[in-house]
Amino acid sequence: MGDKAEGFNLKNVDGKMISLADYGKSKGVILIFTCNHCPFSKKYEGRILELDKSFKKQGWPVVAISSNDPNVQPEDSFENMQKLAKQKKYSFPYLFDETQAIAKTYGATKTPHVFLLENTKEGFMVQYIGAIDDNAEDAKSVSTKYVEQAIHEIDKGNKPNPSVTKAIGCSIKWKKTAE
Amino acid sequence: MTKLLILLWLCTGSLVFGQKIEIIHLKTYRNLVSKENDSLYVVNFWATWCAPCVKELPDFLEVEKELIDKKLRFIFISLNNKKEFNKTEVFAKRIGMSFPTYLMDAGNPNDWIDAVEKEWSGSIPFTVFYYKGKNIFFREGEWRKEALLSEIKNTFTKN
Repeated sequence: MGDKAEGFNLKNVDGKMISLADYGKSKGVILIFTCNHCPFSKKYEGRILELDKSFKKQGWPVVAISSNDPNVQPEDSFENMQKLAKQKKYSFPYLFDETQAIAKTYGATKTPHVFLLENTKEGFMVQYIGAIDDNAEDAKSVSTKYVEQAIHEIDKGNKPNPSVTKAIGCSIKWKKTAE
Repeated sequence: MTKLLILLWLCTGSLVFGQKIEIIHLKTYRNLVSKENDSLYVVNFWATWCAPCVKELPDFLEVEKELIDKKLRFIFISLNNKKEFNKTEVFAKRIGMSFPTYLMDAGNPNDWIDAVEKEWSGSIPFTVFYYKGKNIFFREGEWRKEALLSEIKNTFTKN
């Protein structure tokens, strides 16, 4: 925590490349590793859209990344990502981490998995890792919205507390290595 | 009346002989894995919606058969939602699950994931070994049969 966030340059569903450096003017980035197929990602689709809607104008846009290997989970192919983004009217980039290098660099293990990157003079710093909120099953029964709470703390110049939270999720579908 | 009794017998009979699951919380989980005997407890967290979990279940069943002479006990903890209790039970029965199977009432996962293993991010499948009440090994990710078999055999050699 507090480590410098590695940059990335990945293909968005609209075919254009997007890099972390493109967000130099924002206060931070809500980086979310997610995917098409995972039931927990599906439960959070609406909430991720809400986050982008509320926080983009406050200088904290959402950037979603799918790192799953489509050979393991065909529902997570680039074409299917494009379809989902169109169908759900994603207001944020949905990037394909084809080599899985970005998930590995950040230590993302599951979907959804959030990393809050604060934009500082020294570059983007990782200030929060974990869940969006404390109730995956029911958005109405959430008692703590971890990501929102953390952004408010960062904006006030504080360190988020908690800075790490846990949630059940689908494992990232890594490429099969030859054994 | 007789028909009703037969129906009742059939219903309860299927419950007795089928794979029953039970909803548990952290406290019960701790009781399940803190036994001070000399058995190795291998606990697997899974869910019916988790493809790699479902894929590795037959491997666990095979490993159990191969190591039948060992003091080895498998425990399966489903992270399906409570609303999916029936679905989970039907699934367990259908695949011939022979292990004690429970459904963790997840609530806020921050209340118990760290208590199971601090290094666990919450993704499944997740497997943890307990020996004499201690967490001695864990793995976040799926198994293949040979790897599971050799890990368990190694654990027996070491302990």
